[in-house]
Amino acid sequence: MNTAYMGQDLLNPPSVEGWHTGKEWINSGSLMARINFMADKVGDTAAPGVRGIIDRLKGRGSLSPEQLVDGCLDLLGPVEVSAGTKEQLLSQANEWGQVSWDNGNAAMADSHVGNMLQLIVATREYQFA
Amino acid sequence: MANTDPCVVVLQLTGGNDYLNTTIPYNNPLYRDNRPAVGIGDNNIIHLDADYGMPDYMAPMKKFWDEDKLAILHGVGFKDSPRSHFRAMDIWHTCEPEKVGTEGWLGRVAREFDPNKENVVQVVSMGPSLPRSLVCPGVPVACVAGPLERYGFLPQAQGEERVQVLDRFAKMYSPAIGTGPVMDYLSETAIDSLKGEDIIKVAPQKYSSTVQYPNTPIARKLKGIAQTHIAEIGSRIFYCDHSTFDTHAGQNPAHGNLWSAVSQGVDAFFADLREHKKSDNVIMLLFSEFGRRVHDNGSGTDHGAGGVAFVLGEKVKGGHYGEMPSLKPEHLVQGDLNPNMDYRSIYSTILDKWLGLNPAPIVNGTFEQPAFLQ
Repeated sequence: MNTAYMGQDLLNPPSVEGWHTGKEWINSGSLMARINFMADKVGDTAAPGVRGIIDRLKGRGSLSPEQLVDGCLDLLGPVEVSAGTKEQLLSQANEWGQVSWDNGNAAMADSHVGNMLQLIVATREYQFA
Repeated sequence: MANTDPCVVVLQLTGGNDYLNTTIPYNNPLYRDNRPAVGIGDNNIIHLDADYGMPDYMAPMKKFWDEDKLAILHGVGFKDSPRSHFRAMDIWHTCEPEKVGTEGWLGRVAREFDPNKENVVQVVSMGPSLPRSLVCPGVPVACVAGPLERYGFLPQAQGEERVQVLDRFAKMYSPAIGTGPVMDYLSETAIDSLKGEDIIKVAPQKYSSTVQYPNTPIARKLKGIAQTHIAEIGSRIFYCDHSTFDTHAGQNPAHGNLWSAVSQGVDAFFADLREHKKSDNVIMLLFSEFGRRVHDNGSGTDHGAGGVAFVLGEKVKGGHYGEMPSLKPEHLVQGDLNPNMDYRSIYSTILDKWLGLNPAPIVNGTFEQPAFLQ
């Protein structure tokens, strides 16, 4: 059903002429469904793919807010975002401060990565990439 | 918006509904001659009067007919039907039979009602696609792709975390100058949706009913519309569709299954509104992009021209409007019924007599108005 909610019901296009390109898929319902679907996937920090992203970030040591944002953008694509979007992502990362997996902070660090990935997949740039 | 402001529900029969097997001219021998494979047998026709009947799988619609609340609009269409689903639907949606239009007639209605976009849930579409009839610059449409209960962004986040995430989300989507029309449109859609979700999610929470809806896609959509209407959140234009009526092959039983679902869903919908005493200000329009060819193809029917539309509701004057186009071979146009009622006539009546708007700028012209409203 998820593909249907996202506006791409398998074998059931909106008209017999198929799906339209460009921005025609964008409406409040399909945008919501697409963001929620991806946020659900990347927010699961136990999932193997997400775990892989976390492990690679972890391998870089303690991360500054900028390093966290850049690392997540890079490993999710790379995804290129506008300056305004980057500012918002950084602003969120700044609230968390330095992200470290040391000294019993691993669960919190995982959570911050998951939340950052969710924010990135919710961006306009990711959705229209 | 007052709680009694008139509302319109559009149910789109996507794919090209077969007119002749929906409103059956059962006494016309040409019907039998042309429908050797998919004709409805006499024992399966419910008579509406001496000339027309409905297939028995539309039985719930007959109740509205008996109550004089079902208007049947005959021979609806436009000249030079292109037999293309895409183009024909565009013509219906945009009121532009000569060129490709970009604005939908209902989108224009919404803009008339709310030019300053104060109500982001004035227009509600149940389904994953945005019908072009609802498209109009600056008009937000709440498209409910899944169950109404799940309408909203990032439901995984809860409590304070959710507040923070949605706040960040809103800031990310705040329109930025110079990002281009597509990104601006994306931003606008997201921000409107974000505003609308808190309003629309209230609807299922406030709802309770004794009416049991069938477990079909169209019934679920109609239930969502009923929930939204009953919640009185200011929604006035509702849209949903059911498909696919494109019955080239295996029309029997496909057409029956389609209409059974639609008829039963519509029956439950109005029963629900009546139970809540919210049916007086609702009319429903059912239309399809075109009818199908007069002669069947041995298994189904192919794309045709003139079709049938229905309007039902408490304030509808039931009966036949217009006449079924002649089935005589010499009157057919390339084997199709020749439409004799412009589809914009129906819109014009709804706009003028129901919504209190000047139809001309919305439907791009002046058209005769069949008097199917009290």
